Amino acid sequence: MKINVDPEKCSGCRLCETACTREHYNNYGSRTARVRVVKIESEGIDYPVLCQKCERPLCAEACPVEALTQDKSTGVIEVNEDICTSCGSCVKACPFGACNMHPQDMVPIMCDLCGGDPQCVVECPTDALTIDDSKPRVDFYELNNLAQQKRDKYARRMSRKMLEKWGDR
Amino acid sequence: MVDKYYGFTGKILHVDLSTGETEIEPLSKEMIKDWVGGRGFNMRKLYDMIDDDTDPRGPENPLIFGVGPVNGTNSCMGSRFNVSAKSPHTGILGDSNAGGHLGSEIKYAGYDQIIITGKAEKPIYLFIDDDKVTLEDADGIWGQDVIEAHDLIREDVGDTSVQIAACGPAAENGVSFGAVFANGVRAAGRTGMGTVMASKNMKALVVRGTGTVEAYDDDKFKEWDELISERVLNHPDYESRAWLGTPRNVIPLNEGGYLVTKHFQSGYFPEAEKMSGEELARNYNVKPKACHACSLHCSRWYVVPEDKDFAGLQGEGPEYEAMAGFGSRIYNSNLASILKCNDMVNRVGMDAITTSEVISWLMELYEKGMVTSEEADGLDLSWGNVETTITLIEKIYKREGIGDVLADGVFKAAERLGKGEELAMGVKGLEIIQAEPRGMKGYALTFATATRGADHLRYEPFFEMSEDTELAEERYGLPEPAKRLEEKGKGLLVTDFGEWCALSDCFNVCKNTMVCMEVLEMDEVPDFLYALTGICWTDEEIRDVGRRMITLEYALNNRLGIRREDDKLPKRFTTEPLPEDSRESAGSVVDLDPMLDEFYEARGIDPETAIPLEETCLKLGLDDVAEDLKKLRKNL
Repeated sequence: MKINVDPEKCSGCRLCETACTREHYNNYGSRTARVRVVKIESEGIDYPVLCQKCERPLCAEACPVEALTQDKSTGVIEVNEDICTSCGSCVKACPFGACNMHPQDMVPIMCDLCGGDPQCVVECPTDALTIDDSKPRVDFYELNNLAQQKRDKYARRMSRKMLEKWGDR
Repeated sequence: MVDKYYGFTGKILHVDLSTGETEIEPLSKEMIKDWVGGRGFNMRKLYDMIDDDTDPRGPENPLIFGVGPVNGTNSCMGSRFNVSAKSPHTGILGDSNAGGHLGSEIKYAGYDQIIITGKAEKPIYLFIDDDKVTLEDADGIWGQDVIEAHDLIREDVGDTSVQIAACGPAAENGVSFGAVFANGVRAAGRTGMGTVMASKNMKALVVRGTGTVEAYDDDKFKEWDELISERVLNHPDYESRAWLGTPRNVIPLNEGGYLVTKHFQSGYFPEAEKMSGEELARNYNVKPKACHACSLHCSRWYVVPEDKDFAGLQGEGPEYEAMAGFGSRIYNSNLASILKCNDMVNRVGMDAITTSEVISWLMELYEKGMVTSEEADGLDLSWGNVETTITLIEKIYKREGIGDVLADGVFKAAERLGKGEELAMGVKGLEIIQAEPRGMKGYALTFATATRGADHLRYEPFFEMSEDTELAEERYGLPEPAKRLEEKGKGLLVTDFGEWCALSDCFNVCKNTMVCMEVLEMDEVPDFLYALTGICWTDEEIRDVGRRMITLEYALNNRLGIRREDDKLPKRFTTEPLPEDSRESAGSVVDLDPMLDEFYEARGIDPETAIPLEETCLKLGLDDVAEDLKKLRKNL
């Protein structure tokens, strides 16, 4: 399962953030939310950022004590708070800024899909956030087809001299 | 009563900009019970902190930010904040309210109110980083426009998620109606609160809060939240409010003949369709925008298309007030130019309503031959002249030439020019909004009696446009309050809605949802508040909050010299009938005095002096106010 974002629909209301903290902590906040809306007001950008459930999670790889493990079926990163040393390697490693330290508890917090019913999606009034569980998190066939096209192009370019030598057909 | 605070943080932060010292004052449970939040907290403090001698631009004038119990939660209305001080524009009660994301951030940082006094030595921004409070050098930020300042401050802090309330160059230059802006465009526009901020050498309030807000009864509060959301989403106005926002008002007001046109010379603008919310949605809007935790998302991001003037201009908004202000009020139907004017006043940081009044007023004086082009720096002041309007906005914010004359509002401008006072469209020094009072009598009474001057948001008697005479009978015992052209019963309507608006400003929720869409009933408020705060209010105690507030606000203005003769309207509205073209509003004038009398009686205010009666004050627990007013009456 993955959560898709449509920036043209997002109003920047941040209901996703308060829905998230309510679900996880029974209170309302922003910096303890696992989804954080980036607002760049001068440019009109509102974009909710949350864990991408990477196939190869750099946050977990960066963790020196293996406190972070991934549930392979959902992609959710599980945090073992008992062994986490609060070193922040995971925050530094995440390419999307989707991994945050809880400001009071000092452990990484990231989207756990609310156990399958993500409250940010439920609360989103403009359908900017939607659940996408129609396909795997990364479509390898699509990716590898793209690679094949690139290989063909590259092979053709590298063979140009040889083809010239052979002359017109 | 519970010991722990729910819905509140329990803390008032005092900051003295002269010394850099801060102090935490605990928020008393009595304060909560009597005043609930936001505007209530602010008005009580303001009453205690200012008097006749307070210089609005002096260090002694407090600049007060207040938020309420709903801020920070995900109840879909509670994004707003109030900012209050003695007004440099009107000399009386100054208070303004805006949405955006600042109000919630103040709560997350751990405060219900922030009271700023003194004056910084050099330009600074005040950074409240949870419990750490610092004055940061605003070198390079001072002088920048509001949107630029937002970007620069975020860069300076190194965190783009901080929330900001900033003033613009207009306020820095001493324009009396400089506004405070959150999120770049959410304007606390009225009564010159930005000017007070700038007079303290303060460019902005910057807040970062890592804390949270807790509800007393999570499950119950969640139920309320869901119910309110449902009511918003199923409301008959939802679609138009969500996709057009407040500019949805242009067409119906015009069709009813009460759209402000040519500076209140008519209620009908033949080209209104071209500057309507519908036209904006069709050809300009690209994305919804919302205040914190609001599912209504009534704001919009626009891009001016290729084939229009100012092609490529983009930004958030505008609201109806700026649309009609730089549209029908100055007889201009070029929508792209309206967006340009709106963008300019936001960036330089001025009240769009007051700006549109001083410009349209000057245009009427020109039309009537009372002002020549030479007196106005050679400008062509013909109706609808966009270039002139843009030049005037520039001149006003820089206080240059004729702009300097206009930069203290319409009454001061009339004084300086020595003419046009009878055409100055304002009350108690504050300019009238984009609604023709002759076409909406409840609003006419509101303009005359609103405690911050001619404004709709103190009492917002939106119900008078409903035509729901049955509900009017039920509520007020007569059908007229549901009819906008009737005077009868409007004193009762305005009294009732005044209490609603007061409460709305205390919760710091949006009046679009709570007052105009009526998504929460008055008798539901105690239960809603109990779930959120764990504090009990009876139905009567909830009603008393609004009564107490308006009584205190009247008393505050009384102390600053306001009397019955100030509760008035410009002569045009009570003597000149709306012209024939004004559709069903044609021929209408305002018969103000009977409405005033009805209002004073319902409010417990002495009709001779417009001073609240002693028994009114005592009944509401305002013993100290009663004492003050007694002294005032003695000196009459």
